[in-house]
Amino acid sequence: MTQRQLAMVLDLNKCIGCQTCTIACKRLWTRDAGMEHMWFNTVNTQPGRGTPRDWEKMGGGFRAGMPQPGRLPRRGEFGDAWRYNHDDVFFGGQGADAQLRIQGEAPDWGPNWDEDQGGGEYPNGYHFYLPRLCNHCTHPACLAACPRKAIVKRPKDGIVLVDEDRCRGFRFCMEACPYKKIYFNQARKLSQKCIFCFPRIEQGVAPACARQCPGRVRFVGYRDDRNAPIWKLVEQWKVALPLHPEHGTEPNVFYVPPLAPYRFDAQGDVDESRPRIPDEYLESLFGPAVRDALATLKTERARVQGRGRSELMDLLIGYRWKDMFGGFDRDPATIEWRPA
Amino acid sequence: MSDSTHGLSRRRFLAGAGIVGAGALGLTLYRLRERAPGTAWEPAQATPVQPVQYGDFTDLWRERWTWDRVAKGTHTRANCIAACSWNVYVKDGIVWREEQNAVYEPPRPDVPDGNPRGCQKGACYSDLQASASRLLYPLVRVGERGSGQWQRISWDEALTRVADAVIDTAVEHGTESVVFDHGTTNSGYGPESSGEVRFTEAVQTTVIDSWAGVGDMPMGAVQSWGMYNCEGTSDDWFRSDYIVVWIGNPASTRIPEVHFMHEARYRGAKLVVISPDYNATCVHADLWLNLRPESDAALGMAAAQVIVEENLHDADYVREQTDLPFLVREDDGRYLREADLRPGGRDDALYVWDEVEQRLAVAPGCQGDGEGGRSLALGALRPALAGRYTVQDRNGRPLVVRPVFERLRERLAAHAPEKVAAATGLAPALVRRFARELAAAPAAMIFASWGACKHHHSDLFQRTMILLMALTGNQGKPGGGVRVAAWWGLDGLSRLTTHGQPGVRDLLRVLPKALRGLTPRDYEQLYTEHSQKTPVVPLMPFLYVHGGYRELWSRPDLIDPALPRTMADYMRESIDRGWIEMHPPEDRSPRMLIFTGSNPLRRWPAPQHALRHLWPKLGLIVSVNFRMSESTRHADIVLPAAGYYEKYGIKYAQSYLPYLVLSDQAVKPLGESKSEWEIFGLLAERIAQRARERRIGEVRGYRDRPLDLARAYEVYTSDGRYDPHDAGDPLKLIDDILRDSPSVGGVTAGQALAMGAVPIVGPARPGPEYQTSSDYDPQDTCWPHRWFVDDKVAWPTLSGRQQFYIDHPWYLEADEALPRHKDPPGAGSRYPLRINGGHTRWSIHAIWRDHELMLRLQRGEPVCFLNPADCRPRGIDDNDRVRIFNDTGGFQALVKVAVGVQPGEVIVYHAWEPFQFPGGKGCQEPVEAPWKPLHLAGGYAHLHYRMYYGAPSHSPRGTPVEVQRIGAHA
Repeated sequence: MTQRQLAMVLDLNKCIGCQTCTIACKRLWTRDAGMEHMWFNTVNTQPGRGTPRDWEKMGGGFRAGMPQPGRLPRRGEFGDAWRYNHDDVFFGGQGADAQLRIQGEAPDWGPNWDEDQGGGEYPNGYHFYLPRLCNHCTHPACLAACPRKAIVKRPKDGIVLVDEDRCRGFRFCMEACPYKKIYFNQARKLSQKCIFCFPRIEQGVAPACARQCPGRVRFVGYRDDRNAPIWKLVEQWKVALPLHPEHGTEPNVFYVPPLAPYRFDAQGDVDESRPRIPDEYLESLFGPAVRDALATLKTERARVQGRGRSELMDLLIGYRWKDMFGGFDRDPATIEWRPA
Repeated sequence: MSDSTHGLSRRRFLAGAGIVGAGALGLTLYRLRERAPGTAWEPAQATPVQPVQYGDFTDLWRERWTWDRVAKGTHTRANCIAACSWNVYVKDGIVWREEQNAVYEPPRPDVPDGNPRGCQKGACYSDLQASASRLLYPLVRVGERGSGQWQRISWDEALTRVADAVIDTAVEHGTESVVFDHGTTNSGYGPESSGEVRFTEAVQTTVIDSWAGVGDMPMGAVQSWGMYNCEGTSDDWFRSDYIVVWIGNPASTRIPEVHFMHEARYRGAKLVVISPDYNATCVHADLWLNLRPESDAALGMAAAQVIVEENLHDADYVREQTDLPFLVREDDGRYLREADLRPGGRDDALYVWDEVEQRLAVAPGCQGDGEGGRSLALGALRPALAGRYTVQDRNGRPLVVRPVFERLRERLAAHAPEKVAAATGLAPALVRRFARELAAAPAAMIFASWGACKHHHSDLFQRTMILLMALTGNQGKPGGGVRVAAWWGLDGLSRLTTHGQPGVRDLLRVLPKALRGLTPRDYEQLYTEHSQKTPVVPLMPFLYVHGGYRELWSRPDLIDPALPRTMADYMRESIDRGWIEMHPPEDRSPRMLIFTGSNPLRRWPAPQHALRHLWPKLGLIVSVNFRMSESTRHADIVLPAAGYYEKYGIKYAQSYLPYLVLSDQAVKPLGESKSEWEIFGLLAERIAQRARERRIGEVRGYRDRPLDLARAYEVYTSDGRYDPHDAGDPLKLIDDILRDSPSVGGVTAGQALAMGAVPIVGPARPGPEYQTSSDYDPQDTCWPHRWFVDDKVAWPTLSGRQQFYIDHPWYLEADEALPRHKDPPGAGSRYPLRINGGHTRWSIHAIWRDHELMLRLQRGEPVCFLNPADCRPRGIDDNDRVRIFNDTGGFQALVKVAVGVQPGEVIVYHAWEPFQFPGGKGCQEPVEAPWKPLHLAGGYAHLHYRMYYGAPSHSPRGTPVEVQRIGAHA
């Protein structure tokens, strides 16, 4: 049991799929040997097969409290760390015969392979962008699955960490996680995953994926802080929902579901009778509560279109960027590690 | 690039574990010494062990997030239409990573702040700067051009080779035959760009004006407003009620700003996207208008027709701010002019019919209004928008005239939603909904930026967009009007040049006018005169005359069939009349090419033509860049430039944020690379030295005027004021620039570099790209054109208004005096598909295109997007390899099947390097980019060419092609 729980809310009405969060995390945490293929944060186009490919069919998690079998994703299903032949192309003396190509076997998947492809049919196709990271679940399947108790959940903030001193690389955690957000480091024989930027958190700085997001998509904060946006969006307005709640792990990352432009009817005019993104699809991701969440969003939008005020709309606008981070608003550049 | 250790040195680990102080290494040390045989080892002087505190695995993670120091940096020479300040973290002497310097304050409490800015590309520049793409040493080609065989040479040798080639060219052909391309304005406001400006001025090279050459010339705005750099701060978008993104994709191309559009939706605004395909910006829109490609003018006119027919237009605004009440002769379709009415009358005095006095009145604000054309304020005048009037001409004969608005109504009727439904593919009910919503919104804006300039008839599209905003009175409102882009002025920018931009000297020359206050027309006159001081040539005409594109662009299927004359005719008339000046002159040839921040063989249309026809003319090709590129592969000499974090610079001051962003030198340049400031300074110095050594007297310079190259370095350094040998010299230049710029409030270079982002605190003198045309108020969002709408200053057009009737003879003969829909030249092509698509989110032009981290978040190599309906009949599956081609050329790509693509389109996002394709044949190979000869027109007030204005726009979109499956991707 944790004393406090950090959480994140991502507003899918603002995510533009720019992957700045993905790169921010990569450049900070996954640069060492064995980590080349790792992306602790990923953003995928939905509908889509995601990262790793078809992760939603790989099992894991719980049903009615019972752990469910899950399979181990292969490295190529996450997307391998493709290498290129820049030196050959630039200095190999082969002229136009040298082409910049992925070395080795041609890949059949990558962490953003099906970007912008989407679902449905023209002109009623649809897609949106879904960033994912470790959910730092309240009932982590990974923690339950590890026979060495090598996964710990910090009481003070609920951050779930792989204890790299205890981990022996069995990878039961990778089988158990229904979100498939754990990677394997073949160089160090360790499982590794998102650490919720705990070194930054400890210094009062928001996680890099949140702080570096130019879309201002992410809120960060303690779940119990009633004055901060997280609690209001999750508990009060109930517009922020967990992903695949049916796995029973109680994720602490929440999403405000996406609206979309009007569909077209057969005559090519606007069809207001049903949404472009089928409710059933969003329900398959976020559960039945998504319908009420969407209705609340629409009601509050209509309120402001009628020149009224809405606390929810003001929260989602996020007028002051620093206030999105639940107190973790320190500028990291002001930290000095060693005396000048 | 991965660290081979666990990112942790032994010393640091121990230091991190709490052991500090010299000498306290915490181990027992044994000193080895010689052992005499038979004796035992004796321990040497031992140092007592200090207790070592090992942390746990969490300390290893904490240790990763440490650094030595932070510098403020940015990506000065990336032409990204943004400016973002970054904290650059330096560790062990290298740039370890970067994170946004999120310091932006909102101007008012009811608007979101602009933080954090920055995108995924900026967030990994540290990796690019140290990657295999980096050029580190001067190189000379030793094989054929493009063969990839290079030899490293010294800077000394490289400089001498280049200097001698410049001198040889100058002696034999004149300096105009040395051609300089600095490309897509991958340039900034500081020393990182001043080098090339000073160099080209000192040597008087031809400078290619590539603004229109990259397809970024909003000719529709030029034609309607006499200006185009129209924008404010991006937080002003938050104040709009109806945001129309029209041929644009800000979700991919305005990453730091687009959140304001999404936040506006939460404030009650509607976001509408007009695009054939469901692009990334459609994802968060409320309404998508999926028109057929290149039918945008038809849609615009149809919407205008609805607004006018239903009387939804703002008649008062139209009367004051547009030429719609101006009188046009029925007989020849020209404006009624004073010259028509009396001998010796002015040609630029135009008329309206005053409903109050029931007589002709000269329109206030037109160039010949007798008051200097300063103000369009109507006073008691009430110009008629309807009617038919008969006046007496200079010979006493009757002349029938009608307001433009009457002619417009007729033209609009031909574009009613039902009439253009086939062209647009849009249901009339949808068009009416759009038009009514637009007209009803308190503030409506149309985001139509550079992407909206790249079709053949983009000018017609933009004219209709501007018409819609004028009819509804939105241009000049907060959250309203057409928005393109703009930059803040900086008075000190004249320091970038050797002879100053329109500055004090020029102002003194126009002193009488200056005392009254210069009008936008006056400034435009100054910019034009300034442009004429240098051999600047717009790219498309240059390629036509010198680049080997004449034959291609003379093909009848690439010309608008409505034009009565050929491209050759229009080009001839334009050059003969001096509307376009050719450099080097037509009878001479380019002999040398130097390019920096530019990649012509990636970007030019059908670049194989340039390789075949232009390259052989060039005796020496020099690339000054920080990364290898396709063009650099085909160069002869490479001079390696420093990376963005390795030199001092000022990012161009995009108007979206009211800050000036600067870049510090976080680390020294890698290898032997140097800042451009130093490179071009050394080149100028070497040219001067070699000119003296070789006893070269005067050579032919600009327009064959005598030029002494022995003075090149004096000119470069402003007579010794600067010294590029001095590592701190760029700081001196930055100090000079900032000191001259009251708009940034008197900061020094040191202060500015420590801040990273310096607030704009006041206005600047107008400049060629500084055209928000609004007074600056730091306590408000900024929106454009307040001078015209609030202060009644005359627009810099012939009519002094937003002008929708262009009676230039060329426009009359092309039936484009008024905007209208026209099919593009390719409409009748036998090739069934059209290449469309805008700028990629994955790179700023080609700079990041071949970067491994970016490629891994895509498919790893060039792709195109096709609708399933176009894949099925061609047997194409996802990830198959296809050939995309027409008679001009072709390239290969992988296919992504996407339901959002409109059937008939092949979406190819831009800037893949040709070396990413088999055979080096990149995605520009089939792109003929037929451009409009009308854009060569001049001699008509606001229709003229000067640097960065009024040139034919490169139009790569809509290329007709076929797609053929090659096979499954192997």
